[in-house]
Amino acid sequence: MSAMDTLWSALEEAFRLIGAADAEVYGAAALSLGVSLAAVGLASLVGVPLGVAAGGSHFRLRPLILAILNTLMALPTVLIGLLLYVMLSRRGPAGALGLLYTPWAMVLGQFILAIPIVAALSAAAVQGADPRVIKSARTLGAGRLRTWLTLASETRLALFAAAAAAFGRVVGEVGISMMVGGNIRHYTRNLTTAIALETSKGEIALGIALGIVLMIIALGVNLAVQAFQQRSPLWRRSTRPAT
Amino acid sequence: MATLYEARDLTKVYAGQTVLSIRDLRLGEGTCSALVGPNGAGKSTLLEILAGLTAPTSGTLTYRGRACPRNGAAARLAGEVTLALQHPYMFRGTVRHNVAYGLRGRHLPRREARHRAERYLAALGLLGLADRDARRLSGGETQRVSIARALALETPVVLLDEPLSHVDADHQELIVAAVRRLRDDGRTIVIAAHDLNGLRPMVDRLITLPNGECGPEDERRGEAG
Repeated sequence: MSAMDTLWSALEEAFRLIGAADAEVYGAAALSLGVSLAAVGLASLVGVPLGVAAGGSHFRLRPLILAILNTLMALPTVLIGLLLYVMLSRRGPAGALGLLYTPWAMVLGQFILAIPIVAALSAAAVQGADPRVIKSARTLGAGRLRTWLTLASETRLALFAAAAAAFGRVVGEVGISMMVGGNIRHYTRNLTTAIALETSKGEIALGIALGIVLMIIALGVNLAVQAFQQRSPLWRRSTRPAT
Repeated sequence: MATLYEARDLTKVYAGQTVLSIRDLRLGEGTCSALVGPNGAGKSTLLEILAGLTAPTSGTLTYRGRACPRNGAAARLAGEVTLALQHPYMFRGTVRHNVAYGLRGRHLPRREARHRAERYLAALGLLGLADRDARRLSGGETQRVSIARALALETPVVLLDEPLSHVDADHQELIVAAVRRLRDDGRTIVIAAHDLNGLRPMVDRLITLPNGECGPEDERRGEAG
């Protein structure tokens, strides 16, 4: 079978899988979506304030902290998976929690992967903000916390883009999911571990088809984000057309 | 008259260049002072130092007899000093939202905050623009919003950086009237301007800042400084 034939049959297989409402595929897709959304949601709660505080303040260690965050963006997923495996394994320091080979372990791993991405991109977003934002807020009596909140509000589209970028990174990772999820059928098998499994079995077309399903999910999430940004009054730039 | 600000041997250096150098400057409480001088004379820098936004490179600055620390000056002065910037930034949202910005941080009862915002919107001729996107205003309108949101805080000290720039003659009169009311209320006002126009009659003291240095021939009226 030629490469083009493989790709063509992969496309056919992808749409067949979607149309057939295959329980296994939908289960893996739902797990990918749920785990990654939970991980990015939690990482945003930590990473956005961290990034805004680091990017919106001037202190001696700021360059070092920003450099560390940027470096951590390159963390290999397999390394996170390995470290987490050591921590969560029965003899590890957190073994008693019984999280290994559960979706929660996958959430935890992806959360660790997403934090530096969200934080570093948030810091870059507020560093690129108009310097008059901080000055204006402070001249109007805002304290440090309110100034940061104002900064976050003024750069919210960029902050949301940071979360979207983190989602793109974690939804496609395989190292963490494989090492701490264990690729258990109907439990911790998500789309990326399913792709790895099918590929190892020689089912190239099915692997590519699952990849296409994954990309469709990512596209759906990004379209939903775009729609939310445009429709929600929270994100609306103007309240009335200019005259 | 009590001295509000006292600056000694104050300098500000940016990128190796001294942009402000003041040997001795005192500003009295309840006075209206004007900083005049050409572009680059250091007027805006001095206002930012007085507002606690920028730390001086060297020298001492006291406010009500207390030394302003290099860091945290803004936090300490925040409740008493406000500055309308020369190039104001409009927060995302309406004109009303911008004028109410500072009031929301003051924990005023919602009704009082709304009434106060309305009062200053009206004083600066902005009621008709209240629900307009603040980022789509002309330069003069933006300037008036900036002044309205600063005045709405009703702080004892008001610093105005080029308050009449980009503002047409009719609206300049509104700003002049607002400054006159501040002066009548006994507030301390410092205005930086290269051209005072209608504000000149209200000024007690004229401080020239040629080339970033406080001029020797300050023109005084009354008890200022």
